[in-house]
Amino acid sequence: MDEAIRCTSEHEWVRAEEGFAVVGLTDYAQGELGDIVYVELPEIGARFEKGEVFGTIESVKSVSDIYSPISGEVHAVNHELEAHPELVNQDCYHAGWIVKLDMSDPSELDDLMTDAEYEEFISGGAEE
Amino acid sequence: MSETRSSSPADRAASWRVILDGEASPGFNMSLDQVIAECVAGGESPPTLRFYGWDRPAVSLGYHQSPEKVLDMAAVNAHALTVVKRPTGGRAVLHGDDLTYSVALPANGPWAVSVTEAYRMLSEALQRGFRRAGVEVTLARGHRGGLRPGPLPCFASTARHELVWNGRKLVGSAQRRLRGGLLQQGSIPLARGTIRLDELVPPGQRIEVEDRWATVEEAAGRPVDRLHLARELAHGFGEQFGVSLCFESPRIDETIAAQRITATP
Repeated sequence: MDEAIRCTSEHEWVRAEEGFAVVGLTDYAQGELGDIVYVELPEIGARFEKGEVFGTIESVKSVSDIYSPISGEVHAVNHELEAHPELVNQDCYHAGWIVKLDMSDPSELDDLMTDAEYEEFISGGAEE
Repeated sequence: MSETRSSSPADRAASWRVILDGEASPGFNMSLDQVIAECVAGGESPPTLRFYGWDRPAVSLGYHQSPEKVLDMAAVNAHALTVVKRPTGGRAVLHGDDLTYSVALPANGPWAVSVTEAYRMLSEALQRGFRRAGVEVTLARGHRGGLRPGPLPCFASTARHELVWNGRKLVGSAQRRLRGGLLQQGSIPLARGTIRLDELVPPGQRIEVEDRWATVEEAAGRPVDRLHLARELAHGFGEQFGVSLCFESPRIDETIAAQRITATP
């Protein structure tokens, strides 16, 4: 896992990049969900509070909500996922990114789990 | 949401609620499943199984499907079908001659595993129920992957762990993962109706699907009463998960919430 990322208990990751927060699903999540067949992306410019649903993702006929790890405005979305949702499975931390947020409060990143904390969380050793 | 019961969900943790509903409108059916799932996920309602019918012929679409892309709307209108969107994923399902089920569970439980494993557990519960009703079904090996929400109907293909009889799909299911919970909905064709599934697929994309699915009547070799089957399936869940069953109705606040959603344009 990339040490620069922070994670949520709902299995999103976020990475600060050029002043924006890049968001995607963790490797654990994509593995548990199975083959991703559709990603519903938000509108550019839409605003989301931390913990709010910003999209949905479908795998094996199962639809799951995707929650915003931090508050902010959608700066960009990964349109590649419209034709190739499988990128979330193949390269969840890079080519399979989902949205880029213009953060309202970058300090919210500090509230999220580090990669080590997240690893402990998914192995059942911690509860958020 | 207000509590209308004296016992708390925690008191009834080892028992599941079973709702044997009659026929309702497509919109209300979907809204009530959604409301119940949210109440279960929020800890306000116990794990809930619901069985129901439809008061008019309808087609339900997966959450990510749009009618214009996956249905021949001329055929839909010619058959006076109501189109409704499910909160769950998957593809188009024709309702009217089926028994529909939904199971709403909290996030914590043996089903809190991968999507595929959750399908397996819930399918095994249904399999037990079918056995009680005298119908032997098997879990499909099927393909592991998901299907893009395209125009082919749900019953045109079988995913891993879905229930088949004689190699033909007998139950079509789909899930929704909520914060704190899980909703699975499924359709069980009881008998063949007058409308063919492939008639509803846009021209040019049609394939023969009628020999890919089966009905309970075909599997049992006799007509099977809808309510009897629902009860046996419920007991299959009870056996599978080692829980007792409380046959109840939706709470008033759940019904009101579902009616409000249904009435919202």
